[in-house]
Amino acid sequence: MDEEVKITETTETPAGTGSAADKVMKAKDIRSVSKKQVVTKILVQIGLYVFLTAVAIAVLFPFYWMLISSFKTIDEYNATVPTLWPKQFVWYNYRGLFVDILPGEVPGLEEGMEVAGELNLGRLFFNTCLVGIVSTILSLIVTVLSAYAFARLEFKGKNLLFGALLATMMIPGELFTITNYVTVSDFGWLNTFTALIVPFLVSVFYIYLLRQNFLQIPNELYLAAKVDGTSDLKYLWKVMIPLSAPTLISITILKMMGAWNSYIWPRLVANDTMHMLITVGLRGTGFVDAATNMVNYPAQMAAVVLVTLPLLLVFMFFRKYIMRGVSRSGIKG
Amino acid sequence: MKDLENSLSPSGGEEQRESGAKGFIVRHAEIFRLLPAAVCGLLGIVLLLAPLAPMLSGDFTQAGNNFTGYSVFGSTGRQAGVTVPVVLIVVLGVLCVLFAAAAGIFRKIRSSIWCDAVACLFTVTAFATGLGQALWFGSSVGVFSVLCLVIGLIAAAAAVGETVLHARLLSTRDDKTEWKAQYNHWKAWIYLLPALVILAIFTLWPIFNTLRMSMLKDYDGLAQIGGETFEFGFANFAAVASYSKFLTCLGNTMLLTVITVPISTMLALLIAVGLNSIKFLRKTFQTIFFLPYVTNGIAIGMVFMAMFQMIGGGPTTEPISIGIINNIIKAFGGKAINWVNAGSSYWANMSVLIIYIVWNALPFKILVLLGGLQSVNKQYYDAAKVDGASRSRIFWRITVPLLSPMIAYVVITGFIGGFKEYTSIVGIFGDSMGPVGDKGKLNTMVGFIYDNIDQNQGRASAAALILFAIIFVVTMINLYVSKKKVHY
Amino acid sequence: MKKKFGALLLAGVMFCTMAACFAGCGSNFDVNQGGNQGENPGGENPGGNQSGNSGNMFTMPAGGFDTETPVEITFYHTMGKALREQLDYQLEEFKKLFPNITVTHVQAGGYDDVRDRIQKEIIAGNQPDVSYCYPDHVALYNRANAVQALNDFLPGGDDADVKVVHADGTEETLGLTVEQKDMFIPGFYEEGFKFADESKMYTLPFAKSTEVLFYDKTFFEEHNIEVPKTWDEMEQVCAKIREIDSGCIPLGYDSEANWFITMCEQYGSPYTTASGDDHYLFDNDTNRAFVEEFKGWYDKGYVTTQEIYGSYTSGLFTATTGQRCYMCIGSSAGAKNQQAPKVDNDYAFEVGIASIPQVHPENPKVISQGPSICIFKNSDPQKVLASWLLVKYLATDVEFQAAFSAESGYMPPLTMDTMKTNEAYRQSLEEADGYGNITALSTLFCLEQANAYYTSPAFVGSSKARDEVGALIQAVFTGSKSIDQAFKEAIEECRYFSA
Repeated sequence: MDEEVKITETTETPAGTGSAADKVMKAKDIRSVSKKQVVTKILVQIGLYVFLTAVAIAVLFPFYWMLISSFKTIDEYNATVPTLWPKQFVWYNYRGLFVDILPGEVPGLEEGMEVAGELNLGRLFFNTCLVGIVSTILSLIVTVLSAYAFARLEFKGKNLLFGALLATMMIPGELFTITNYVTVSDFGWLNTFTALIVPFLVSVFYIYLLRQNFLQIPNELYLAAKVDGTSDLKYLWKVMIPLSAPTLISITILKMMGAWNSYIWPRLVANDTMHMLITVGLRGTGFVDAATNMVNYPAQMAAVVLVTLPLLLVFMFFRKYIMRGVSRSGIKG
Repeated sequence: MKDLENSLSPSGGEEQRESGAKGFIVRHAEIFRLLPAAVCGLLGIVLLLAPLAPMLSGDFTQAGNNFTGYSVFGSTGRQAGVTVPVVLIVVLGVLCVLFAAAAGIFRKIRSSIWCDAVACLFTVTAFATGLGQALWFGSSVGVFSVLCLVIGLIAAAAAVGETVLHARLLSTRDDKTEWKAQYNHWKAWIYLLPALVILAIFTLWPIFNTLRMSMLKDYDGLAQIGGETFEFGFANFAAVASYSKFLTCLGNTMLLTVITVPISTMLALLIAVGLNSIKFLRKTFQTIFFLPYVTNGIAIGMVFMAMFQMIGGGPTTEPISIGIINNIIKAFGGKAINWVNAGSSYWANMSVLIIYIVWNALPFKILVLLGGLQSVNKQYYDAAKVDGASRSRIFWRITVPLLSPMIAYVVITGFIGGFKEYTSIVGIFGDSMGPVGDKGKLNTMVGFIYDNIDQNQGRASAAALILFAIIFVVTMINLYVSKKKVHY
Repeated sequence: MKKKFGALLLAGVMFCTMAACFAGCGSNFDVNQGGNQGENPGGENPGGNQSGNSGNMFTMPAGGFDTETPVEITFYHTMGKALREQLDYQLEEFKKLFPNITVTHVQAGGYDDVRDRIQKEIIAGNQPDVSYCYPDHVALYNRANAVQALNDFLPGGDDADVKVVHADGTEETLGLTVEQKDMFIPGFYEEGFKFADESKMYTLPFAKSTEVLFYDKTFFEEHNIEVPKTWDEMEQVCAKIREIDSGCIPLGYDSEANWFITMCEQYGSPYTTASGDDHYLFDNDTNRAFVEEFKGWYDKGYVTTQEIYGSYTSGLFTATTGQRCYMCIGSSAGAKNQQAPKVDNDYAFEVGIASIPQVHPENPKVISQGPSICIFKNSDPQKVLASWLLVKYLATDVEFQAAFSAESGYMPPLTMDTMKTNEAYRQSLEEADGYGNITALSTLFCLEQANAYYTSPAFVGSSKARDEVGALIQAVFTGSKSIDQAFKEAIEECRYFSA
C-alpha cells in the first residue's frame, strides 16, 4: 500500500509549483487512487478464491462419492435413485478386506462378489512399496541422465534420436503388451520383481519433462562451471538437480503413483502371492457375481480408498518440498 | 545470389580444394541432391505402366484391355462407384513427373527452396500413384513390387529429407552459437545407454513386431501357433480404411482432442497461477486439485454415471431418476437434458466426455505447471511490479513466456494423449462405446484397435500405425510452433 | 521459417498420399479387372482349423496312466472364496484317490480375464492345463489348436476302457462310462460338440444357468392372472397388468441378446452357424417380424430391458413402491436378487418361477449359459490324463455339484434324478419356496425343464454376433435405427470383424 502511494507521489507535479489547493487535491486523489487499487486487489483475491473453490468442489465431488459409496450397502448403492448421503452406514466393506465375509452374512452379497479376506495384505503392501520405491529410484537415475544428455550435451543425431523417442509415445500401449509378455516369458522373468520393474523404467514422458526443465536453466551457468573445470557429472549433481528440484519431485510422485496404480501389466506377469501387487490383489478377486455380472461396487470402492490413502499421505508429505520452491534460482550478480 | 549459392554447397566455397570421390560429389552436389527425387519419378513412371506388363509375355490384347480399362481404388471407392480410367492415371503420373522436371530446371535459373519442395512433392506423388497402380494390377511379380516399394520409400524419404535439410541449412547457419558446435560429446551416448537398452528391448522391439503384424493379412498370434500363414501386404490397412465406421472413429478422436487439450491447458494454467498467487488456503487447494489423479478410474466413471444418467425413461413412463446435474438444472428452472441415455444427442454425449476428460487431465497439468512456476525467477516479477505493470500484462508478458517450455510440454503430450483417448469413453458408456441404442457412436481409433486386438492383431496393428502417422504429423506441427514460441 | 514449414507440410502430404494410395490398393484382388492376383509371398491361408485336425486326438502312452510319477496340473477358474473352500475340500478327496496328482487352482478373475490371460499365455507357451471356459473361448483357443479333444475318453472312444488304479486299490474306468454319460443333461452334454467340427467334443459342462420367468405370484393370484405360456399370452397379460397399475412396466427383460437368440431357436429360424464362410444368418424375415412385434410392445410400455432402463431389472422387480415391474425374465443364477424385500419382517410378496414364454409350448427352447471346463493339449500325456481325471471327477461328483449349486446359484449339469441321490440336496429342493429359499426354487425349476436347453454354435466371432443382435434390439426399441438399418448394420459389423 505504501509502495503505491510512493509511486504516485513521484509522478506529482514538480515540487514548488501549484497552489495549496492543488496540493490538497493531489493528496485526496492519491488516497482515492490507492483505495481503488486496494479494492481491486481485494476483488481479484476474492475472485481467485471463488474460482478455485468452484473448481475444487467439482474436483472433490467424485472423491466424495467414492468415499460415501464405500460405506453404503449393496442394495442402497444399486437403488435406482442415488443418495448423496448413505441412509445406512456400514463398515463391513472395509472389514471384508481383512476378514472373510461370506455370502449370506451380508445382504445382497452373492457368490463371487465377496472379497477374499485371506489376502495377505501385509505382503501385498510390501510388494507394492518395494516395486514402487525401487522402480522410482532407478527410473529417476535413468531419466536424469537421459534428460541431461538431451538438454545440455551436443552429439550427432541428437534431434533425430529425440524425435524417435517422442515417436514411441505415439503408439497405444496395448499393442506392446503381448510382445512384451512373450519377451518377459522367454527371459524367464515371470513372477519375479524384475518383470515388474525393468520394462517400465524408461518413460519418455518424464525424460521430455525434465529436459524442458533443464533447458530453462541458463547456459551461462554451464559455461561458468566449465571454466572452473567442473566435470559434466559434477555440474549435473551440484547445480542442475537442485535447480530442478520441484520438477524432480513431481516426477517422483507421478512415478510412484504409476507404479502403485498399475494393474494390467502386473496382473499378467506377477500372479503368485510372493509377487502380487496390491491393485491386482484387490481388484482381481471377487467383486463380480459371475452369473449375473452384478458388481459389488461398495466393496470395490472401499478397496480403492484403501489403496489410495497411502498415496495421498505421501503426496501431502512431499508437497512441503514442492512448496519450498527454489530460492536459489537465478544468477547472482 | 552468389552468397546463396555458396551457402548452398556444404563447405561454402571451399569445394574446389577437395579431391577424389568426395570432391566429385561435392562439386556436383546439385545433381546428387536431386538424385532421390529423380529415382522416385522414374520408378513412378515405370510402375504407372504396370498395366502394360502383359506385353512382356506377349499378350498384347490383355495389355490393351488393361490400358483402356478402369481402375477402382479401394473398396470405399468401389462402394462409391468411383472408377478412373487407367489412361487418366498414367497421364496424371506423367504430368507429375513433367512438373517435377520443370521445377528442377527452374531451380537452375532461380534457386529457391520452393523449387526443391515442388519437385519433391510431384515426384513422390508420381511414385505413390505408380505404386498404387502396380499393386492394383498385381504386376507380374510380387517381389518386384516390394523391391520398388523399398527403393521408392528410401528415395522418397531421402528426397524429403534433403529438402528439409536444405531448409535448415539455409536458415539455421547463423543460429548456432559457437560453443555448441565445438562440443560434440560422444560421452552423451553413455549417459543415454541404460535408457536406450531398455527402450530397445521393451519399446523398439514391440514396435517392430507391430510393424510386422500390420503387414500380415489378418494376423493373429493364436492362429500362427495353429499353423496358419498370412499374406504379406497392405490388406490390413485397406481393411481398416474401408471400415464403415472408420471416419466416425477418426472424427471422434480428432474432435475430442482438439477441444479438450486447449480447455484443459488453459484451465490448468489459470489454476496453477491462481494457486501460486494466493496465500491463505494454498496447501488445502493443492491437495484437493491433486485428488483426481489419485482417485481410481472406475470410481470416477461411476460418479459421472450417477451425475448424468437418467434411469427409467421409456415411451410411456417418465424417468424416475434424472441425475444430479439435471436436478440442478431443473432447480434453476431449466429442462432436464438427456446426456448419455438412449436418444441423446451427439453433442450432449461429447459435453459429458469433454468434462470427464478435462477433469482427468487437470491434476497432471496443474502439477507440471506449478512445478514450472516455482522455477521462475522472482526477480522478473519484482521488476515488473516496480514498472507498474498490470496483472494481465504480467501474466501474458512474463509468466506465460517464462513458463512456455512447460506449456509446450503440456500441450504436446496433451495432444498425444488425447489421440489415444479410450478409457474415458469406456468409463462413461461401457464397452458399447455409445449410448444405448447407438453402439459405437463415440468409438475412437484406440477403441477400434481394442475391438480388433483379440482376434486380429494384424488389423489392430495397422490401425495403430495409421493413428501413429496422424499423431506424428500433428506433433511435428506442434513442435514447429513451439520452436517459434517457446523461450528457453 | 517458411521453408521449414513448407518442408514439414511436404512431409505430411507425402505421408498422406502414401497412406491413401496404399489404403486404396491391396485388397482388391477379388475384383478381377485385369492382370493376375499378384503373388503372395506369405503363402496360402488355409482358412481355419477345420482341416485335418487329427492333431487334436490323444495318443495314450503305453502303460496307461502312471500313478507313481508326480504330476502337477494348474486349474484356472473364477470361483469366489466360499466356492474355493468347497473346491479345496474336493481336491483333498481327489488327492486321496490319486496321491501323485497335485492340483494348483488359480482364481484368475472374471470370465473375460480368464480368456485374456490364457490367450496371451498360449502365445507365450505357458497356458494352464485345465480351465473354466465358455464355448467361444474354446473356439478362440482352437485357432492355435490348443484344446484337447475329448472323444477318446467318451463312451466308445479309443481309450475309454483303460483302467486306472486308485491309491486305495479300487479301480475306475478312465473314460466316461455310459452310466456317467447319462448323468448329464443331454442339452448340456451336446454343447461340447457345437463347434466347427461337430464330431469332436471339446468341453464338459460344469455349472449352468438359464433364463427363467420370475413373477409376482401374490399379485397374480390376487388379480386372477394366469402365468403366460406363449408370447401372445404374455402380451395379453402385460395389457391386463397395465390396466391395473398404469404407471408400471409389466415385464423386465435382462438380456436383449438372449431374447433374440432364444426367439430364433423357438421359431426355428437361422441365427449363426459355425461352419462355412458366412457365419451370420440372422437377417431373415422371421427374425425381423418378431423384432417388430416386440418393438410394438416397447412402444406401448409393456417391456423394458436392463440397458435401456439404466439399472438392474431385478431392482424394478423387487421395488414395492413407485415404478416397478411384475415379471422379470432373468438368469436363474440371479434368483437371490429377485427375492422380495422384507417389510416388517415379512416378505413383501411371493415370487413364482416359470418357464419363459414359448412359440411352441410343446417344444420348449431355453438358452443355456454358464461355465464349462476344457483341457489343454500338452506334450506330456500324463498331464492330459491327470487333467481328464480331475475334470471327470469334478463334473460327475454329485456331492461337489450339490454344494457348488447351493452356494453359487448355478444349476448342476446333471439330471434331477442324479442330483436327488444326494440327501442334502434333495432336502433343499423340497424346502424350495418363493420366499427365502428362492435359489433352491430356481434350481428345482431348471432341473425340471431339462429337456428344453439348446446351445448356439461357437466359432471365432460368435460373441460378436451376440453383441450385435443385442445392440440391434436396443437400437430398434429406442428408435435410433429402423429395423432394416439395424439388421443390415449388425450383419455388416459381424462380417467385418470376422473377415
